[in-house]
Amino acid sequence: MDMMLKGFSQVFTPTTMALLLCGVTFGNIIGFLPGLGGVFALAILIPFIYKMTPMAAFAFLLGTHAVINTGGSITSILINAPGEAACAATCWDGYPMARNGKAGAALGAAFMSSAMGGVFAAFFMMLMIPLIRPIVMSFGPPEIFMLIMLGISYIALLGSGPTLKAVISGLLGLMIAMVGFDPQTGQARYNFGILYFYDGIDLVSLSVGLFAIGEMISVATLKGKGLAIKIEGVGSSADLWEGVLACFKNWWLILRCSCIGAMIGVIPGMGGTVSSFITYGYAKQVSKHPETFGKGNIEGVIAPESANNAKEGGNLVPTLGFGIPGGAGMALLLGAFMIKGLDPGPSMLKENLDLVYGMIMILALANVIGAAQCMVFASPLARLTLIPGPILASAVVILCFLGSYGVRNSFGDMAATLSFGVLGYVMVKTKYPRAPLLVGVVLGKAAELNFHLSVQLFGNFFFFRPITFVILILLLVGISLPLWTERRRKRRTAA
Amino acid sequence: MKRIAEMTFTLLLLILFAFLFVVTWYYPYRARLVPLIFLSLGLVLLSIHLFKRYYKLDSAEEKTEEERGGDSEIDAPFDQEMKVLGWFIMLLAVLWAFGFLVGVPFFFITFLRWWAKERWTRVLSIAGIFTVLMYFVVEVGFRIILYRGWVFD
Repeated sequence: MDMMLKGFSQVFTPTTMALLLCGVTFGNIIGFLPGLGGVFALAILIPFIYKMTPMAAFAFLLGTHAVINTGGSITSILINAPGEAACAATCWDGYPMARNGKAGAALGAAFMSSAMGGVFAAFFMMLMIPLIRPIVMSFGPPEIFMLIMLGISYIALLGSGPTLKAVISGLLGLMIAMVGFDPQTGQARYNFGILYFYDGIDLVSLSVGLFAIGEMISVATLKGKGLAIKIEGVGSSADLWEGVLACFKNWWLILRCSCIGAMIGVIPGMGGTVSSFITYGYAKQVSKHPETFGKGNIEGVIAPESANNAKEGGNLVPTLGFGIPGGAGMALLLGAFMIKGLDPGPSMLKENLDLVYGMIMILALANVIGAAQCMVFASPLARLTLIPGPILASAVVILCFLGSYGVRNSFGDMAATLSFGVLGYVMVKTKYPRAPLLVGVVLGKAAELNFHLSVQLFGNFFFFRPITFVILILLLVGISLPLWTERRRKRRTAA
Repeated sequence: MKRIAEMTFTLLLLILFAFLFVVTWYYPYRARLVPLIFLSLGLVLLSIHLFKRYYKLDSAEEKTEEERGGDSEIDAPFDQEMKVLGWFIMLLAVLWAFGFLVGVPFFFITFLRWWAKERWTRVLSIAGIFTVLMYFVVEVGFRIILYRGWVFD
């Protein structure tokens, strides 16, 4: 209880609140812009956290990440182009509502259900901490090593894009993490005589390049046009309130969908897209008017919006509790923890519990502030999608270079940023998912360290320890289940 | 065309993994153990993938996923994207030579005027505002000394 109060009091300081507000505003702006997501936003912001306190840094980053889906719903409803992949399900009923002149109601419902989902996620996280704490505390190097493997494989198997390529991408990330000195033997690896590689690859340069530069190469080609071509009217404030009231009428649906979203978020790799599609289907199943889904039913907006914001709270559980990121965004957040000298996992729940509770409060506040901002500024901010691509791209690329330079004042980091930008671009074009690569880089060193510690402490057969063995079984089931399902489907198709 | 590009990238990854495998082999046992596990797995998976792509053995589901897969939503012409990449490389070169305070406005002016064909007033105001903001936020606010470049350093 003391830790909780201590954490909450750290949030309510002028600096932290100001940074939270900045983060939420930035998150909403990025959320509006189709094609630019939460990972992109975090990648750009991470270089700026070096001189902030941990709480202020997480207010800035988590504030941004938490509201991405809230902003993303605006373009889903107004132009039928989801700002985020997780908002795609919102298009199905949001856009028909806009076409029927009910854009305001759809937006109001989307904002309010997002806020309610986000606040629910914070409560979910708060309830989960006392439950997972004793489990996490009993974990040693073998369990952590197996969890890292489980996390990487789940992100590869359950994430977007082809499975085989996702696993290859994850392995490439793990190999990038091996560059630099080996912590066990002090052996310099993969430096090829280049001084820059001795310190290893900088995570900021990699993430900024991979996600932001790669994306901007395409955005800059949109000469004279923005990410959106035209936008529908937002409607009056009375329309917005109609949507807000609909959320209170459908509170039970929001609660159930938020719960589903948060539970899905706990599983690494199961992103917001999955949660919003599942809850959309669920809402249709339990609705009294399933025939109106796809034609502008407000429940079809409420269900996915509450779930994709609630997912963030679920995502934080494996990230903070076990040091296993729930997705690419959380992998970047994990990188930010490392930058601030924090170690997510058992030690985090033991030594920095106040910070964990502070983050829960940040999550709840960010969702409320984000929704309020969207309610007030929906119309003018939606016009940001009309900013010409080259202007947006040139500003973002310069920000990327500034950010990567600011980390170590090294020109080499800027060159690395551009190189990873090219890699990111090639991966997008050849449909290799980038998220598993990032997760591999973030977890690579920890995987190697825990592997060696496990062998030293428990011998070569460390994976036969009880919890480790259970995780190994989960890993094998996770890998074999999709393959088995595919085989069955193939047989059925052949028959 | 997309298939060839994808196969070429996969082949390059295969060559990279094979090269790293040889390099890793000469490290001490404890330093090479984990990388060798990852590389072996990578070599096997890359070979399988390349084999499947070459003989077009992808399942219908995989093909659909290929069409849908990837995580970008903008499908721009390749030659345009290469030109943009050229501009970004030029930006890096200008930053290396002249630093941020000269390189940034120079890039804004050239890129927005000649690539994006924006109006002069808009180009100059964006370049000016961004450079002033950059100086005050980064150098004055964050106290990070901006890179001055090879010429001025």
